[in-house]
Amino acid sequence: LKARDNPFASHRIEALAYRFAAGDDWEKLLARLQAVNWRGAIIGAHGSGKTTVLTQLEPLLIARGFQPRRVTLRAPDQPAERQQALASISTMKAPDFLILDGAEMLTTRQWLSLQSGATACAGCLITQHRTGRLPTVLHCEGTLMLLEELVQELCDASLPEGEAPRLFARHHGNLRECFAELYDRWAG
Amino acid sequence: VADSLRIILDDKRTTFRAGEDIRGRAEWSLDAPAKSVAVHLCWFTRGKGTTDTEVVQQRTFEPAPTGQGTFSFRAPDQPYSFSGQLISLIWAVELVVDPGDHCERVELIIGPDAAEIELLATVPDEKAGALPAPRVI
Repeated sequence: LKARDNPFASHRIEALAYRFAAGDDWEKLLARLQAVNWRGAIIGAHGSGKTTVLTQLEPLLIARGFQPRRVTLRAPDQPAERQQALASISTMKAPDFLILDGAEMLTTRQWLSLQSGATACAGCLITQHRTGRLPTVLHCEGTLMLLEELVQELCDASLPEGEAPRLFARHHGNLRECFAELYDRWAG
Repeated sequence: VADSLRIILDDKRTTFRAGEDIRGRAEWSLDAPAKSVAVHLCWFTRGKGTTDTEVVQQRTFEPAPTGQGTFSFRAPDQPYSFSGQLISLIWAVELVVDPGDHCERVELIIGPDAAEIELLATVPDEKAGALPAPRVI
């Protein structure tokens, strides 16, 4: 099977609409963010949908007159790269809206420095694994039911009986990793 | 009325050898004024992991609400269109309007013999049975 045709290819995963918990939606998320002066955090484990939320939130922020500026921190970043990313934040000012993906990668010292450098931004939304640093506006969680629903949407088929719980457990609820395994298995 | 974007390639041709001309016409009709309207010749990847993309040539047009224009690109020497199990590289001509998510895309193949290179592994018969069958998840 060609990579382009694999139903679990990255671009198809990224195109999945974020699923809110019952009773929640984008408008409510934006209202919560506004209530904390546009400075909040999205909390969740690896592969729970935090980055998906950021990506799908950006056009909504643009529609409200903000200019989203994404900074992504990843584990393999070199110190110089990390420093360069953080330095770019100090040049931001309203209507720039800092979107920091991977705030858990920062030391406390780096975080305090970033906070001070980002004061001129119109807003600041971060993702991290645990609460703290900024008020939580959304808690992302991958669930078994969500995995089954997304698999159905991606390949128009269900996993065999009992397979979804095993897959979910094997990857500790990390849906991104579940999809990566399904990609390999689908590729043959 | 929704925005309307169209790309029409000459002779509806979508496969090219390196060095050949890729010619066509772009047409657009927009609800709101645009900052820019452009046709890109670009490639992008599909598959597992991070998606890569690069615009290698472009032709810009006056961002009138309604308009059309012709474009001509030279098919580059590399990279070729290819597909394996992990990654596919796909060429395309895109009509892009900024601001907004407006984009019309026609996928192309650029390669030797005007065909996509296939990197799919051939599995020896004696090992084939040990691999999971495709499409069984």
